[in-house]
Amino acid sequence: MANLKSISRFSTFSGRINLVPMIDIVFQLLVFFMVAAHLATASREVIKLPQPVHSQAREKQLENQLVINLLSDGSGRIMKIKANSDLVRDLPGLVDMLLRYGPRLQANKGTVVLRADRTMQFAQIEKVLQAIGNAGITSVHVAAEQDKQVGAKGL
Amino acid sequence: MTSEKDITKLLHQRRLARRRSNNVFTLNLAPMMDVMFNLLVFFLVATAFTLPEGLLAAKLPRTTGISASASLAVPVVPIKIFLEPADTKAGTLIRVSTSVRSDATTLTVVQNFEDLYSLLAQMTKKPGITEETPVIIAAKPQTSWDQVVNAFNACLRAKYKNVVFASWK
Repeated sequence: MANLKSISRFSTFSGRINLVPMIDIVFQLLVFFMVAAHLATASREVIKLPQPVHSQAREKQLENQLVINLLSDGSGRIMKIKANSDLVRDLPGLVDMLLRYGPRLQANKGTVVLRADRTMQFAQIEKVLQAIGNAGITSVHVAAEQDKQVGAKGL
Repeated sequence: MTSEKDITKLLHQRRLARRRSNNVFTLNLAPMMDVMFNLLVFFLVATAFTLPEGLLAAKLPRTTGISASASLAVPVVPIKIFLEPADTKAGTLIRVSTSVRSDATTLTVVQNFEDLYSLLAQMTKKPGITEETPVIIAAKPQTSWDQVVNAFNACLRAKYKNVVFASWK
């Protein structure tokens, strides 16, 4: 009887591993990390950035950065200002914020990333540039679209 | 004790039962749907709907404006790029002012930013103008930011290092 039991146990063991749950979990993890990485860059609003001819803009990993997003109202004026992910009420509010954070940013060798809508008038941008300059920040990075060939290569 | 005959019979019965069960074809769709949905979500998340973005490094003076920039102790007269919105709103009038000496200024009008780049690149071959020569981009208030960044990009493409923005009123 013991022999029969051992034989039946062997015969039911198929030796197959069900891969489907593993693929499920791996995909779930992959999607989770991709969404998490996307949320980490939430400080970047969806803006129609300038499209320079033969763009020299390159991806840069900046450690201490203050991202200023300037959204246009369609007529070239500023509709909304966002500093990182915080909404700034108006231009004087941005000046106040820059004056508060400027010295700390300079001390940490930080930089300001200016992301402005391409349709915006220079008069509007100039005020922001002046505010950045007055806060003692001299290092500014202007966001622009990359050259399509460079972007395709992922540089 | 189980005889060898019993074991053979049992195995035969099991084989028959398996063959019978194989005849009923059932397809489990749940794992396939799981994987399909995962693939769908993955491609939705992975697809970039916007063009890749890059950064152009710039330096700001403590205060902006032509008067402030001109007061800098520079060895040569800076190159000035004047940008003015065209009447048609389709483009921008681009004027480039250069002078090796302060009493002789050349004003060149270029048609587009490709020509601006060519002009700036040629200038570096002239005596008295180097990549260190300051370039001032002076734009009228109504000029679009896209045009200003285009001019800035042309300067960087021509390897100029000291490029500043200024308003032109």
